[in-house]
Amino acid sequence: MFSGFLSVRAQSGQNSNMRSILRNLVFAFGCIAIIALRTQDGFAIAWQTSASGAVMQQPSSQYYHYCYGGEFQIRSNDSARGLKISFLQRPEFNYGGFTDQESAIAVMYGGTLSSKSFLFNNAAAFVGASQIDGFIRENATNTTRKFSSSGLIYAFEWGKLRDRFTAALFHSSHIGFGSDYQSEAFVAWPYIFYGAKVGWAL
Amino acid sequence: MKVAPLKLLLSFFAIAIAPPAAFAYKFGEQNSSVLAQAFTANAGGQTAYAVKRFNTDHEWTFFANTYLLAGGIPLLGGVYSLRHTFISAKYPFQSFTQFGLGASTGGVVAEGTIGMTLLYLLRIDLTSHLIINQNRAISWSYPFWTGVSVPL
Repeated sequence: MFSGFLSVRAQSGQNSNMRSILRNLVFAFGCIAIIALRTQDGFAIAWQTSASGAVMQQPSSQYYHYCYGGEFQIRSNDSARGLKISFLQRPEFNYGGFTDQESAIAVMYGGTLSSKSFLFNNAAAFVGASQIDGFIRENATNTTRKFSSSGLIYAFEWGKLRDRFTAALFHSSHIGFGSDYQSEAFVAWPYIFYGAKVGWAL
Repeated sequence: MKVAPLKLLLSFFAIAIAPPAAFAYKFGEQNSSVLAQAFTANAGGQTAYAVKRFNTDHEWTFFANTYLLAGGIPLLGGVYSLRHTFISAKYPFQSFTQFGLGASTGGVVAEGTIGMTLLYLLRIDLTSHLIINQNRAISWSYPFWTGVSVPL
């Protein structure tokens, strides 16, 4: 599903190699997660679904945009490790004759670092692959320009994990890879998220 | 001057890899890092210096970011972090994550890092800062903050 999603959005050959790497990373993360989960003693997994609300900061911007979304996680029962797919979207914004919107999708692997963290009982870290997709439409002419950014993502969570219930504050940062000449000039495209999520596991 | 690749590889191993590897094997941890360059959404990236002292459980960082100014001078700060090691310094590839809190010339700073050290020497961090002062909260990212790690 993700291979298709990521490849059809490629708009130029410039990023095709990067997208190929991203697809392989997603596949690799999936394999690692399955192996890691299966090698646990007393193998038991939980299927967790969460709803999220967050603020997002675009690269080189000092504005915070509200966004919403959710995530689906397959994790070990104790949350020590797991694979999650997260989605966050900024609502359509209409101003000055233009409409724009962005969304972020990520596949991450990670889990609980400490169950004795300050105040709450669960501090976790994740790392994975991600993609930002967005558009800007000129309302008068109905001309739309699409843009996307592929890269890696890391995330931290800090919250409460109790039986099936999860509530956490999180921070994640998408680091979009630039083209070859941008990378040579030390250019990357960081999108920063801060938010909260509430989830339930089966 | 033409140098045989194998000779070059062996020289590099003898000079750069073997001593820190032996030290890490003996004492179980490397202790200092110096970082200098990170990516950002502008040509040239950001020159951000950091001196770090650490063991398996915590780290002290002092940093100066020449890309960001606070009061007209480069942002200066210090952070104390709790460190969680995934792969220890006894292996050629090490990885870790950290959560920290500190102070800077821009305000109180909270830090989160996921990082790795390759071949005992090359350290690459992915770091986020949240700087809070009386006027606002500023989030800043240090993608691929790169430097060297030494057993000192």
